[in-house]
Amino acid sequence: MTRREQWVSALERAVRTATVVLPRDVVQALRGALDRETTELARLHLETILENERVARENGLPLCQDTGTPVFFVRAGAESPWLADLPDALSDAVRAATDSVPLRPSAIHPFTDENVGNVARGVPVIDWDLVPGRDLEITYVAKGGGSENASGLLFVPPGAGSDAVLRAVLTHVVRVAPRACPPIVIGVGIGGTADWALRLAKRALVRRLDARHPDPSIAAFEVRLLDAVNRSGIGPAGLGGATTALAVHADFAYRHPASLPVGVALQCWADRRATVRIPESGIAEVME
Amino acid sequence: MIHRVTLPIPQASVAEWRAGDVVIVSGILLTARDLAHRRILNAAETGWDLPFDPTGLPIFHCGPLARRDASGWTITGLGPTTSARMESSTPAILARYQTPFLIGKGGMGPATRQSLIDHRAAYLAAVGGTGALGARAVDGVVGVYWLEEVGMPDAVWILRVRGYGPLVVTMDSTGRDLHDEIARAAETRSTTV
Ligand code: SF4
Repeated sequence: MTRREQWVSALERAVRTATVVLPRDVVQALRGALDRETTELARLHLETILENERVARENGLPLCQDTGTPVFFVRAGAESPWLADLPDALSDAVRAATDSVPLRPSAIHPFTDENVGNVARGVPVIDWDLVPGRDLEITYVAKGGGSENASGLLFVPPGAGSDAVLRAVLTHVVRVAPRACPPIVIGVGIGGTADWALRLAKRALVRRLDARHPDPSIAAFEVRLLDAVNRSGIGPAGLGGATTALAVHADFAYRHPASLPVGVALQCWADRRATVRIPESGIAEVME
Repeated sequence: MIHRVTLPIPQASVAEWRAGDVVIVSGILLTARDLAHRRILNAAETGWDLPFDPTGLPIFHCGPLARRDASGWTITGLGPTTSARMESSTPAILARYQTPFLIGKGGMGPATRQSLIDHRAAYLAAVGGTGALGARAVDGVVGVYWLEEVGMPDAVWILRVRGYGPLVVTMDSTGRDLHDEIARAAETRSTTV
C-alpha cells in the first residue's frame, strides 16, 4: 500500500465511523437527558433517537439520511512534512466513502441545482488551524443542512457585556432550535471579526461535550446559556421537554472597540465526528 | 393515544387524530421535497401527465438515501427533512390529490394549517435524524421517479413501509399546531431571563 492509499483508507474509515457510530460522549449525554425527562413525548423522542443509534451501529447504516456536508477540521503542525499532500487525500477519502458507506450525494451547484456528488469546488470544507509541531490532527464532521441553516451572525452593541451576548444568542437559538434536530450542540464565537466569530463558533463544536472552556468567565457563560436554552421547553425533536441542548461550547477573541460580532453554529443531536492523526512518520491512525 | 394504521386510510379517521397523538404507519407513501412539489404542480398546470399518481398517498418530506445492486434498490436512510420549504406548494397539492396526511419535521405555516382544516388532513412530525430506523421500516421500493433529472434526494420515491414511527400528530384538522404553541411558550420564557 502506498502512503497515499494508507491515508485514504484511514480517512475513509473515519468518515464511515462518523456517519454510522455516534461518539460515546454524545450517547452518554443523550442517556443522561433521558433520565431527566419526565413527559411521555420527550422520553419517546429520546428513546427513538437512542434506538436509531443502536440500529445504525449494529447494521452499519448511516445515523441520518442526510449524511451532511463533509467538513475537515485540521490542526496542522506547521513543521509537518505532509501538509501539501493532505487536501487531495481528503477529497479522495470522501469520494471513496461516498461509494462505500454510501453517503448521499450532497454537493449541489448554487444556481443550476446540479448535484455532483460530494467532491466539488469548496467541498469537502477544510478548516486549517496552523499550530506549532509536526503532527496533523484531522477531525471529520458531517454537517447536516438543517442545523447549518440555523447558524447565526449577531452584532451585539459593543460594551453591553456578557448578559447582552447571552440574551442575543438565546433569542436566536430559541427561534431556530426546533429546525436543527434538537437536542443540539451550540457553538458560540464571541468577538474578533465577523468571519472569525463564526469560525470560532464552528471550531468550538468539535470539542468533547463535557469539556468546558479553560477561561472561567467563558466557562460560566457556557453553563448559563445551556441552562437558559434548556428552560425554553423546546425539548427533544422540538416537541417539548427539558433537553433542547446537550452542550454549549464558547470561545472568544479580542474585538474592535466599535464592534462585537457573535457567531452561532449549531450541530444536531447527530453530532457525527471522528479523528485521524498523521504524525511525522506519515502513518495515519484513526483515533478512538 | 397511539394509532397503528394501515394505508390507505379513510379521511374520516385522520380527522379524528388530535395533536399529541402518536401514529405508527404501514402501507404505501411517497417522498417529495420542494423540487418534486414544484414539478408535480407544474405538471398539473400544464396538463402534463405525471408518471405516477399521488392521489390519496401520504406525502413524506424526505430525501432518502438509497443503494442499488443487482436485486434492485435498498433504502439505507429514511427520515424527515425540513417541511417549511414545502409551505408554498402544499395547499395546492392537498386540494388536488386528497393527501390524507403529511410527514415531516419542524411543522408548517398558516396556509398549510388552514388547508389541513379544510381537507380534514393532518401533519405528523417524525424525529429528525432517525434515518436508520426509517430505513429498517421500508419493506420495498414500489417506484422511483425523476431520479435522473433531480438526483437521489429530490426524486419521488414510492415506498412500502411497515410499522414506521413513532410519528407525532403536531398539526391536526381542528387547527391545533404544537410547533407554534411550543415556539410561543419558548419565546415568552426566554424573554424573562
Ligand atoms: S439536521 Fe442533522 S439530524 Fe437533522 S436531518 Fe440534518 S443531518 Fe439529520
